[in-house]
Amino acid sequence: MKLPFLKLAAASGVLAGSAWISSGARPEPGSPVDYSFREPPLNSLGIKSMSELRGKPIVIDFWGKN
Amino acid sequence: MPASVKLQELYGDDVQVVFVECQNTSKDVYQAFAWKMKWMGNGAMWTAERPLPTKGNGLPETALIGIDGTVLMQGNPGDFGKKLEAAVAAEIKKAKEAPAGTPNELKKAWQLFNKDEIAAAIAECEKVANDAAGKAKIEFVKRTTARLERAKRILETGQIGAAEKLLGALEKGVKGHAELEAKVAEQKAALAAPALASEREADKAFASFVAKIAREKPFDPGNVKKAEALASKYKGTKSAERAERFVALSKIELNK
Repeated sequence: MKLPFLKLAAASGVLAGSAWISSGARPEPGSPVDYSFREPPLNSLGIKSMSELRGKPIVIDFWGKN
Repeated sequence: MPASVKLQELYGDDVQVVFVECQNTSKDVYQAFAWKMKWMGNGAMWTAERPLPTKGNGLPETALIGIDGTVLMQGNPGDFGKKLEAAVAAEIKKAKEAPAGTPNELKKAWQLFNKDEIAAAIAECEKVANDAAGKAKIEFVKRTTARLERAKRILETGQIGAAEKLLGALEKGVKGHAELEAKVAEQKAALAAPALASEREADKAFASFVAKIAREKPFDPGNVKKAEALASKYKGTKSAERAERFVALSKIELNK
């Protein structure tokens, strides 16, 4: 019984912490990434959403401190 | 990670690097770590929110989003080799041209707009005067208005230098378009308010401090003392708050 529960919980973001909860959805192929940040990123200079960066390439570097 | 820092430094405002911390490390800890690693002090943004889900099972992972907002590449940066930098350079080049599929008669308008010659781009649309030109004009006004909104938000954070830079470019670009000129003038007036004098001075001092220390032992005790002095001298400003935060981050024990 435990395994299905864990899968369900992970899929809904319950176990994965705030970073998972605040993850944008994968866009359909050919559709733009349109994520709006809940909290302005550090050094965002007024940028609140990915759509505001449209017109310049964006490199997203997923990293971990550990 | 350092490769993305280099990309941001190499291409400046032409590219936006967004670092996304994915291990649920606290904001204080990952920002302190980034300072310590000398990754701060450039135009990169830092967050723990993922604008799109990661694809693989491990880190690091890199995604390149093109100028149209779609994902062009995503995966382990080690697998990309030189392809990532080449793709970034190609997108930067494309950003200066008209979007794919633009009718020939509107290419000049887009080229002008991409050079920040906003009023001239709008005038070119009015000269062409067809449906596509009307849509392009709406897009130019929409994007310019969004930049003005952004300038307002930057001003609210006390980053006067960045607001001045953005508004300076807009002021030059909208010259000749009465409606946009008025909107820019309104923002410029807000920027010139006497009440912002101390914010301006503090912002300049803190920006200069960051430029000097970001690459050379940021948390060196001497630098921390300088930040403390800035926080004290400019108390009550947004930049003093930034200096205070820098001091607080410098005290975080990262090896626990």
